[in-house]
Amino acid sequence: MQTPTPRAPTSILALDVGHVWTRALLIERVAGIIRFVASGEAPTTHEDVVPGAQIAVKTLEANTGRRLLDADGTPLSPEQDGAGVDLVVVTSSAGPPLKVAVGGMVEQISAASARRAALAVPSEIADQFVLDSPVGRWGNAEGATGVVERLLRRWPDAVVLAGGTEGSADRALLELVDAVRLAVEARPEQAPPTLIFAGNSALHDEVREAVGEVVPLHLSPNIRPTLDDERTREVGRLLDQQSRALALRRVPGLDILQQWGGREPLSHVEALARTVQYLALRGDGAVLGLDLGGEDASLAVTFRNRVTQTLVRTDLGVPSDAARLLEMVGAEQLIGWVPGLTPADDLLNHLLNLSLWPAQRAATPEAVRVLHAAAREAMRLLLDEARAAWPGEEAHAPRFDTVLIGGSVARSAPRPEQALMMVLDTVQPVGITEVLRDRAGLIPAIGALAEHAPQVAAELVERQGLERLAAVVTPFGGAGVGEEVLHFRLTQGGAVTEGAARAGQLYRFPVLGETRLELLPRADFDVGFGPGKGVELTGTDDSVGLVIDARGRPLVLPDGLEARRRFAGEWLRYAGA
Amino acid sequence: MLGPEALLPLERVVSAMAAVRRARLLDGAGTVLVEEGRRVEPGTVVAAEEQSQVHVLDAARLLGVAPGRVADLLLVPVGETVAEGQPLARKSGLFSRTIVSPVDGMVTLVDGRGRLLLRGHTERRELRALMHGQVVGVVPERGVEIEAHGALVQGAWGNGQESAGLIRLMVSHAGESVAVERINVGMQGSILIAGATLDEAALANAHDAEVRGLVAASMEARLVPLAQQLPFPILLTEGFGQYPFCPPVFEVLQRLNNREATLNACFEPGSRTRPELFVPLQGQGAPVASPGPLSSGDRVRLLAEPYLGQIGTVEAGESTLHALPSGLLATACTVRLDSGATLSIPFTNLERLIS
Repeated sequence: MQTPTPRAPTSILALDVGHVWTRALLIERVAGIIRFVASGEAPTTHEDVVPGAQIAVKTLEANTGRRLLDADGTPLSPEQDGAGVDLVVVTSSAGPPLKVAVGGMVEQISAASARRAALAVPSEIADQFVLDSPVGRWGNAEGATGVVERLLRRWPDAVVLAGGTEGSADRALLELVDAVRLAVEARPEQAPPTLIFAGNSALHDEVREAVGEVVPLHLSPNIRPTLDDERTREVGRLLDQQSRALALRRVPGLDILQQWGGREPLSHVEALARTVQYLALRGDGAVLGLDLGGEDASLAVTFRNRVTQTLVRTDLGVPSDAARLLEMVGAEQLIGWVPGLTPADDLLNHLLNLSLWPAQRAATPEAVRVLHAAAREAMRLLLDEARAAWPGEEAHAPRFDTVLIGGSVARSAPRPEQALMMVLDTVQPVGITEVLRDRAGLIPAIGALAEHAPQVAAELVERQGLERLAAVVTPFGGAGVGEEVLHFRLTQGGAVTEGAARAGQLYRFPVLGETRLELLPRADFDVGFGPGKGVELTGTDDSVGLVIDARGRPLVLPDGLEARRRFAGEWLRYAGA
Repeated sequence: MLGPEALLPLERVVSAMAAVRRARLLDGAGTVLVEEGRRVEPGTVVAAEEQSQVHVLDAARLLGVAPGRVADLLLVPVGETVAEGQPLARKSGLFSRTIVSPVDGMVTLVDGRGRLLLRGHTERRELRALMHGQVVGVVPERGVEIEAHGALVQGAWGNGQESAGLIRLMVSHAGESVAVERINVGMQGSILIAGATLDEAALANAHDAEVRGLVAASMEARLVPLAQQLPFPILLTEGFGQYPFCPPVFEVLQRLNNREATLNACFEPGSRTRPELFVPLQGQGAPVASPGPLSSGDRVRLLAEPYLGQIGTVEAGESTLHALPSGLLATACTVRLDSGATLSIPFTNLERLIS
């Protein structure tokens, strides 16, 4: 059982219950520095998550030789005589997705914003009502009355409504508010969905009056205050609360783990958002966090130093959703990322066999390659959904200062180059980007510690926790394949190498001791400081090295499956994988 | 002594005779129609749920009156039943208007915007036992738990359908695939043990022949979209690709020809429930239960390429950290394959066979 500790904790047990794996991490201050010490894991036991958590901790005990559980299988806390820990933190992504119905005035504007807001947490879009639908008002021949019937059929956990720029006079959204109330009145025996109204705030009083005491209501700031501005974060927070409460009701044993941690388990996506926020605080720029788990894919983004978006797709887990992914993108699109000559049918068989037992370790190189191909396509779909809300040019050519990749696929990539290339092939950043990997699976712990012990969380981000894969320079401009786009000068251990980077190529410079890379782009090319302006990079402890990605933006993939697979192989080879 | 990784192995039941308990539950609340102790057959309806269609009429607009007036114009009060075509509300006067009920049902409420809510005819969804057995537990409003004795073969993948029917064993050895022309109208209503692999032609013929189900060792992954559209259950015992039935599975299957079976091909990847074929038999089986941590002597089936489907026995010894050909490291135990080889296999890449 958790008891409050007056001082900053020096030893922490971080438990993370995922859909596929439950992981236990030991984090400890050693010689004054917070370090990730070791981890243990076990398959998540969905019928009761406690045994899976206990086995993960027992594995950690075996790996560290330290007693962490008492005779009843409860974590020992606070630490005494080298046994137990000062603090236990718990995160979870187990549980069913939240069923959310969304409504908006215009398909591509407010309805799209409401949909993205609903996807800020693990959710399933139960239905969508759009005023300007070609089928009829709110997507029905019968207008708002049809909405009532659809709500009664699909009975969501929450309804998110958006529409009307701030101060506009349009009151049509009130029809949906009425429809929600009528549906709830028609089915008094069922728990009502929560209504989150995120439209024009001028309607707040009328909305409150319309639902009365019948429907639980949250009034959120307008998620689309102007046509160019989308703010889904507040709705995401409200849905996150709903989602966590639902998980506590529906995931057997999660309440016990809550007692261990002393607080409601934090969701994965919220942990990712907090980690990204920490990374953003180091500088003043844009950070993207990607987490590709066995059963869902999520991201968190900061622009101008503030988390502006989280997004979760529960249908894009790799490998669990492999069959669905294939249906969405097609076999050729996916297999195009797999180098080599293994027949496409064999690769698909490998992938779907991995999806049958998602906890298994990919044993062969072919299985790893096809898993990484699926991860690229899942990330591409996730990013496509997200980037519609990114400001200005970022939607087409995002300038992220830092990209962090985590989740089971990236964590277990045998070579760092493989993880780096998944990021470069899908995010396709421009300018200068630091790419990090969460190799130890610390993102959930960092997120949870941000609340319990913020100094420890900050130290983990700054020092020990995340593997720096590479500093990547991506020159941006127009050039034909083979044309010189920048001149580089590499200084390493006193030796100097000079050369030209050509369009269509990718260059990797491993960091061997003190490494400096000076870059001077062509007059019409930009590496982030304006056309023709140069930059100098210094290698630190990058596991891949310094990388120039001159393949162009957007990345143009060759026609034909054979050519695509050949290019995929060449690019991996350039990167050193 | 194996480490804590051995505490929670994946498991698969392949048993010629076992006592099996299966819950049959409605999605929502309903009525349980059988009592504890009752013997049931596949077609026995064990529970049913009724859901009424709800119809909303914008009465204020249809009558051309202010919302507050609708309640006064009702011809059928709230709480009363109404027949299809029966007048529900009427506005008299020069421009008189009448609303008639579109359905048989009940007037449920009139809201503040003058809308009328009708509960229409009730749709009944029946839940069948799908197996021969005895009701050993009742979950109020949801369904029952049924116990049965017989052969149980759990598989690797299913297309999400379920049914019951007579088993037809179509092959004579574990690596043989059925000749597609043998899947014809004569197989109508049967569950076919179709052999090592299924192809498009086999799936098409099975559909035309109106079979009740297919059991095969494997199938090409590209056929999944087609298989998921078919109205009958398909169970793969080994996985995707081209594999024979593993020996313990075929050994049980070949004894089941001409028996009544239940084929449940529903499953969620990642969960510990598997799609399965169950055949009730005379006799008393032992309850299916996990024997606890994985230990030496346990029979296991390997899950990952290149050994998928191979059978072996866990050897005595300690857990070791093993480097896989992919470059990944994993905690492993030693398995002696029936084919003779001895391998280090990650705990995550095997399942214990329970017979």
